[in-house]
Amino acid sequence: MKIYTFLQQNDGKPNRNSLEALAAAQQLAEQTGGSVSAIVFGSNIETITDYDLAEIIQLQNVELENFNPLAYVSAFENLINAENPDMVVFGHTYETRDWVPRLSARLDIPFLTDCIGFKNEDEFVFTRQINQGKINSDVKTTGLTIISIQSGAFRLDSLKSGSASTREFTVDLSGISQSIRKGEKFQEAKGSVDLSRAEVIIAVGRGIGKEENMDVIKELAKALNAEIGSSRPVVDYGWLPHEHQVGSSGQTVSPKLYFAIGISGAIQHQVGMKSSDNIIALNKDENAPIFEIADFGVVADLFEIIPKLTEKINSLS
Amino acid sequence: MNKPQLLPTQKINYSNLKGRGGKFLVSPVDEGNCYSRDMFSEENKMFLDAVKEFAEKQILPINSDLNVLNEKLNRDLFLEMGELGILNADFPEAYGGMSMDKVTSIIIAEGLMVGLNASFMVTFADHTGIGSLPIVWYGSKAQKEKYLPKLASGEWMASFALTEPGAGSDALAGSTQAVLNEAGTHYILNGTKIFVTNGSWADTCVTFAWVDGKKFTSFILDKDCEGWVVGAEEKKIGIKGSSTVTYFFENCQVPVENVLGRVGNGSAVAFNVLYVGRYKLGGITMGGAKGALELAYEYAEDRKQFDVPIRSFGMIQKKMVNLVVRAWEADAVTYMTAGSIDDGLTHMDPNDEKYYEIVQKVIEDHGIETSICKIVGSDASSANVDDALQIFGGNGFIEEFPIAVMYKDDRINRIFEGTNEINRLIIGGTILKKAVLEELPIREMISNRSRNWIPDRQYNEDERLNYLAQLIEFSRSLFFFTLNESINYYGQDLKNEQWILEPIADMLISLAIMDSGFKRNKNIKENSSLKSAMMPVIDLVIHNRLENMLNDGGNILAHLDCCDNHERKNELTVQKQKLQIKFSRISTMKLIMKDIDKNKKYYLD
Amino acid sequence: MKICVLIKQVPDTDSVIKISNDQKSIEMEGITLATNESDSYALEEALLLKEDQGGEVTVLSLGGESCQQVLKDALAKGADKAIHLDDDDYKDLDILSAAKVMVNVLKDKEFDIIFSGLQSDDIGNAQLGLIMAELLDTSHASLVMGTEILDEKTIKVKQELEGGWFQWSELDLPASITIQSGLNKPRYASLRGIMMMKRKPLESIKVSELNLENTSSKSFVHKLYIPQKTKETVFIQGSADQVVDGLIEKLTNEIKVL
Repeated sequence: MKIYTFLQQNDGKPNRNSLEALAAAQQLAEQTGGSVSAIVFGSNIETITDYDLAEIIQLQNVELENFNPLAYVSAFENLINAENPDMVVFGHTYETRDWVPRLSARLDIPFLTDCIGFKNEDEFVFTRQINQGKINSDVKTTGLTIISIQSGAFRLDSLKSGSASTREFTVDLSGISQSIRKGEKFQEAKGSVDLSRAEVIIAVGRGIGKEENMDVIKELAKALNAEIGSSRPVVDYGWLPHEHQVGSSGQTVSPKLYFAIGISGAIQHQVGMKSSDNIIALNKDENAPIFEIADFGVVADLFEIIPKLTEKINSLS
Repeated sequence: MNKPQLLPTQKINYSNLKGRGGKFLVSPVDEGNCYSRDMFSEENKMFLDAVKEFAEKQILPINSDLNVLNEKLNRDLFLEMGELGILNADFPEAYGGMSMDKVTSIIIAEGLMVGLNASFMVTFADHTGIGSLPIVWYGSKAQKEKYLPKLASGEWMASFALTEPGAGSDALAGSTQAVLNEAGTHYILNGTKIFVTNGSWADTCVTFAWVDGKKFTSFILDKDCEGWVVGAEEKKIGIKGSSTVTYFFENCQVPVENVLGRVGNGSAVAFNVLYVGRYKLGGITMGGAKGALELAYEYAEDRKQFDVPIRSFGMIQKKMVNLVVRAWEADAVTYMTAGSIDDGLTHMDPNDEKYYEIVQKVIEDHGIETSICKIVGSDASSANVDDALQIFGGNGFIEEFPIAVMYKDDRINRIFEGTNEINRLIIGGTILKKAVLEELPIREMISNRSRNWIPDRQYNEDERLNYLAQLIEFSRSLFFFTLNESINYYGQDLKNEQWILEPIADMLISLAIMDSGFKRNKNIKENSSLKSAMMPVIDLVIHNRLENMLNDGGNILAHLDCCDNHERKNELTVQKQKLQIKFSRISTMKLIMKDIDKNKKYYLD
Repeated sequence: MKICVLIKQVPDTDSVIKISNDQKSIEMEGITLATNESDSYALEEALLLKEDQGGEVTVLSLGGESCQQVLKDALAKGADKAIHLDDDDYKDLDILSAAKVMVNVLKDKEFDIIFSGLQSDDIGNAQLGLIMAELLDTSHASLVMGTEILDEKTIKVKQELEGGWFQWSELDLPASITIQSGLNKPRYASLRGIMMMKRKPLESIKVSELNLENTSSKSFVHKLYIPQKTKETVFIQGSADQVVDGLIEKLTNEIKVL
């Protein structure tokens, strides 16, 4: 099986999710006895020559220097039509979401987004999560197929290193439509607290001890790009405004991650957060009720763990 | 008189009774339809969903903020609700409203209670009901143009001031005086009104005073009226987020054009709007009974003791079933009432000049039903918050849990809009009036049922339903027998005999629940899962209520026997033997619990 | 401005989902259905644009008879027309085929903007808007968090990127735009809107009656199953460093927030 995988570059480095997709492609190739070629836009390829690849196919064109969905689609269309791979693998990044579906429509081929795995039972299938993760769906396709890989579904440490030769593929994108014109990227100052929309909530309870200790929590929240929630005592003591309070007299939340730090988990708190996708609880008391509903538990002093954790997360990004 | 006399059978034309108050009482279960939520139109359903969504997203999240006095939050909600048509559904279309039917107003009450905030509901109901309706009904064109659009949009808030220190349930005992000034331009009001809901916030007030000491008259006050003095907030047990104050009229100057209706016509204004307040409060408390049920169920599922959810314990389950049954009963009578009032108005054009005159007549005609809604709703809500709080255990006593606040907020429901006692008097008084004036074929029913308490006919193809129908018809006969014996014994004085009127009212309440619950079942699609799931609920309700009927009827008859040494109660004993009661309360309740667990639904949507 | 909003009816996010016996579909009995969340935001954006610019909003949904409800909700909120593509007799279209079916109906209608939610809460393809753009030969933008009409021919959109970054883009009209939840405050249906709803056109077209050339699916559901999840609390133990490493591992590989 001839597998092509796209290595999206951000700031001159391959995007993490793309590398995970490469890991997926390597495993696919291994199972099907195929080869993996990496597709790169632009000149910067030093960072990827150490992986086990059949080759690196480099597309250099002024239209591909910055993200341009219509140019990207045309470039890939040219490449695929010329070389007929059996499968094309992407990371399910915000950027690929903004052009790959269009590629699939142009080539009239199926595209399975956000796959978490594949398996070869009686038939070769790709696994997707549907209904917000409540159900797994094994999907099969016919003919040339595009898939994208969910962020985190494949581990970077499974990437096989090796060497790769480089080949250039020339595309002519001179007549490309300019109907989509990308502007500058920017960041926004964070607005007011909106726990109901937060993906990650770092929630703090009485265990924080005193108001001056709140910085420990704030720094972790910053590192995880999280909102801060709290149990009632923290609000009652005036360490956080009421809008942070989770529970029966506060907000009801269901984020992807609810990280409860120093919260014992009285039922009036639990009713506000029990439907979170993942709950991590850190508490000194191993009998704290919060552990009854936590997916992951740490019995420890928060001041020993949290600053180190924050530091480690910051060092990763 | 040892045996009741056998009276000739008389024909009753049931089709004439559509839209008439008291219809449920004289219509056997196989005669005529009864409105229920199962007959909601597509628009009704969409509107209920929209109101519930509004309450869930706009009221529930700020619930605790609405539990303390906060004028701005209430006004902001009013403005939003004005935009959506939730505030002004009842108002005439010409003045910024929607001229909607009564079912819609119950849908709004029920839907808004999803926000679980009784304080706000009181503010809302006072504004849309007694605060604004008198102007809709009795206002001149100029008055309507001046006040209604702003009240409909939520820009202004309304209040209603009737009660005085010496005039509570006896509303006409008030002493506020109105005197025309020499120029003939203003009435000068002097007096005190207490317990005025929305008092501190209101922009308008409908109030009452004696003109020349003998003509009870209604007035509209607005902020331009000098001498309208607002007192301090009352410290109440509950509904603490609702404003309640005393008004002092200190030479309050009310322009003559602000007389509402005619001089001397105040009692009609005061009493007729109260009927509306009653069935609306029925809707609100029915919503509250459901809210308490939802909270209790969720808690019973979450709360684990002895390693299992407390929901799995029999005593908790029994409470759960009772919570469901009470909400179900309130639901049935409230929509029955709203539907019947709407039936009475089917052929009326809301733009007709006489429309609101007819509306009042039809609503007054439903005086029994509106009081039943108020009593059943508030009793259901009261028992439900109590049982729900018990399920919460110690946590229920902590105000952080909404049930604790609901418990305190609920207490007023059995007091305002006419105490539940006054409402029982209204039921008793109205049935006597309808009997005397022959507004309903009560004589005919007494006649027809004197021979055979369970008419020998097939009410339903289903064996169990047919059996239940017989229990209802037996109860109906028991009621008419008891009513007839009471009238025969007391004559005119019965209307003052509260010891008897109360159980008579309670019998009527039981009968209304049995009848509307059973007839609701007819409205549900055959073979639907709802229909089969609801069977044990109907079974339980009818047997519960039959017990109440036997108890109330038996007490009255035994008392009469005691007074004149006759043997009326024997007749009850003889007739009762014809009933072959086949019922296990515990098994039925267990069955209901099983279904609640399975479907997580309460037969209420 | 002629705007079309593509709306999908999906199981309410609180629904307990069960798999049918054929292991290829979801058991629909007892499921509450609702408008896909990001589609509600797409509708609101369309209605705001109409209020600002004038024009007309058409809503379109592909699905069984029940999906007329989401169209009616949209009409009650202020959309002007609704088209229901009834697939009761033509099920199991993959997303590319579904888009082709929709294009059948939309291609002659000359919409200036086609809005859709960025992805459905059930299948979650996150592709429809871009496929429509390709098939109708329009510009596109995904994950849009804000819109601004610049002139008759141009719309400016704010797109969400990873890690809290955003980007403004200018698009020539016509454009197909997928909307991210949270960019506006979807309105509630008003009583008046609900009463008006019946008077607005709702056209129902059977998919089987459309030109279905080249619309057969190329991807197929093989099997649905409940993912295995152990709810037992996993305790992360050891020295502080080991705990931190353990947490990083869970955050990265299981919870996937790093």
